[in-house]
Amino acid sequence: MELFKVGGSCPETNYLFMGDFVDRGFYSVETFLLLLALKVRYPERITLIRGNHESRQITQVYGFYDECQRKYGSSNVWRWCCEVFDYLALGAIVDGRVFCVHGGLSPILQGIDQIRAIDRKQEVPHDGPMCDLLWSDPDGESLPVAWDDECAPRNFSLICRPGGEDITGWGLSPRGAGFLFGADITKAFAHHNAIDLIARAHQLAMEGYKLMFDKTIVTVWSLSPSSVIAGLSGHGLLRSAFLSCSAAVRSHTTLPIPRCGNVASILELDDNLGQEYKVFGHAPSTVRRALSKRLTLLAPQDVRTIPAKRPPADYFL
Amino acid sequence: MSLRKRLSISSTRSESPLVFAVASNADSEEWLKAWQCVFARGNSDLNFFIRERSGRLILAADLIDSPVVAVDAETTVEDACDYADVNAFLTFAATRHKLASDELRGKPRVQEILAAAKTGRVPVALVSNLSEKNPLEILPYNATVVQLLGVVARGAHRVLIQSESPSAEFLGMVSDRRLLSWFTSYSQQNPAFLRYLANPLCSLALPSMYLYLSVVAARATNCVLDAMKLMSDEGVSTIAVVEEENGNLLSAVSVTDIGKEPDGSTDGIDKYPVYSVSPSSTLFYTMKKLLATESHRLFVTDDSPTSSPTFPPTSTGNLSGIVSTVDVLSLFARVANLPDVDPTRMQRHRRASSASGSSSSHSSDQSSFGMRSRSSSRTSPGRLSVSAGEGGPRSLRNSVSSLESFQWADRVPK
Repeated sequence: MELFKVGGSCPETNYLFMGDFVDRGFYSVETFLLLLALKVRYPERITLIRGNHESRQITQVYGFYDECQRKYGSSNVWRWCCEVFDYLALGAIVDGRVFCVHGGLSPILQGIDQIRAIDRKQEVPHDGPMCDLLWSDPDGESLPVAWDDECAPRNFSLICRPGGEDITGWGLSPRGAGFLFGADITKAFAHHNAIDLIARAHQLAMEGYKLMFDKTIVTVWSLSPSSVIAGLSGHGLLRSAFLSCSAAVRSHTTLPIPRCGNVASILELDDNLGQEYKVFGHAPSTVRRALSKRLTLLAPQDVRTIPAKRPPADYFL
Repeated sequence: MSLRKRLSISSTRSESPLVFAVASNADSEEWLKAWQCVFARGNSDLNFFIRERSGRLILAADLIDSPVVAVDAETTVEDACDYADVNAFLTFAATRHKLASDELRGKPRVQEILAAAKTGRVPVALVSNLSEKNPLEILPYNATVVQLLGVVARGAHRVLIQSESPSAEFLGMVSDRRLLSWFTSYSQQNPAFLRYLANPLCSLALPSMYLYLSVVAARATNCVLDAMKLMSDEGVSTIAVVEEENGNLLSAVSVTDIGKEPDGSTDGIDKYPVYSVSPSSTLFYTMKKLLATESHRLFVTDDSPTSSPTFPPTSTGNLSGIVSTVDVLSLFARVANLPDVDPTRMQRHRRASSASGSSSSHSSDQSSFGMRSRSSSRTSPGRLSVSAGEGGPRSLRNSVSSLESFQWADRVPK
């Protein structure tokens, strides 16, 4: 697959997949099972953490349930995959300095030790710290925090502090789960937990990756563009690489993947945790020749064609 | 009153008190005074309170959030309509062939629509307020926030504000959401009001918290046409979708899903399938969530282990009720001592006179009408589509999905 061509094959390259293995596209089952097979075969070379789509409720709505029904005639495979999802870790740390999570931070969690203490072997709740880690987004518009106390309120929903300013710099997410958080919160978390970078996925990045808040947090967006398992090239160096992966073969009979003219990327970390972003196109091979900065200047394209003249209405009579 | 009946149900199910939290008289009088000073019109920003302190009469900030767009009465439905009306129209369209001709006799407007459709264009004037959820509410130039509350508390979702006479024009519209947003910002200025908003939902007199089986809902295996009909017949703009096995809230289908791109298909921002709060969530949190998600209502789910296992029946799962923007604003209307506060009136009125004809039976071939609920057409955005014979009904479970093309003409026998 394109992803492995660009980043190098496993096990020569270490991989960390930041969730969203299923839903949308047509090959969720195959994608997830491939990753599981790699995990079984090379447990030390590949890490999978949970995304918001690794959930019974979300997969029923966004396509994975239907795909399993279609391919296996019953909901068993879906149910077993969901049981595996329950065991996925909520986050990961690379060499003690890069913290990886699918979504973002939570007002209830200040320390990474608190994340370790969460009982994660359950369906993703619709609110609370476990949900927040998988659903939150960094937001450049968020109001700064008044840092008289470092800790966010224990339970945001019950706290109302009288006074003029916005409560704590955490905003409710328009997604309906998780929170929006700004630069202050991000930097404070990084400082408090002695990490250099938060790597996360969950949002589309037009250029494949997006650094924010003085490079304390990066969104990495990768789409696996092809169902064909191409020959994998070997690489001499052992590297750690980060990706987020969503099953993404386009098909017009299932839920479409976002088609915005974006590119995808893999964040590669070398032995000194130096960052390199490998960008690759998600379109067929004609786009690949332009794997240069020029790709990033393409405007997002709205795929819907807008007819010049609206055709006559097709009524029910 | 029915509220009392709900009280007795709720006392076995949850820890809802029999006495609701209320604002003190002194507090509510202070708030009422402030709200009466705020005009519904106006074009300033959200810092209007600062101006109040300087003594200047307030022009309420951007409470007008939509301009008036005049649409000729002859404009077609697709170009002009509100979602609830579109839903009513399309539901009717999809079920029209099931209506017996004598049912149509009593509905001249419906006959007019049919006649117009035969010519190929249906003017919006015929479909306007077909759902009976879009009455025209108008307030004068110098209307205040309190007057806005009065209108919205009766179920209107938007209010037209007139220009100063002698002009017959309109300044714009104020939506219920904008009014809700205004109250959250008022809470930042008045600590007593903020404390009132810190009350959990279960301690407030909200009319739809404990509906249980009365929450309009469909099961995940129902088809989308069922959902549309349900919305039209029940006079609601959103229904819950519950899981087959345990009745737990799974997702929601709304009239605004008609003709909409599935969430995340152009910006990659996936949304949670259904927006909900719990009975212990504060009113403030609920208001913030309504605003953040830009929705009109949130479902109330109760996952607490203290719920009684014997009553109500377990098929309700965790779904307990709903709380809407209008419900919340009605609370404030009561605080302002406004008479005649009844947020559920509009829905009851709508339910009593369903335009699509509630007597049409569900025949077995309805299953072949199954559609993706959140739909978008490749060729013409804004048109509903249905898969034609692709094996098996499409269920509500996958409520965020793409669309196959569909020809209305094929659906209905000539």
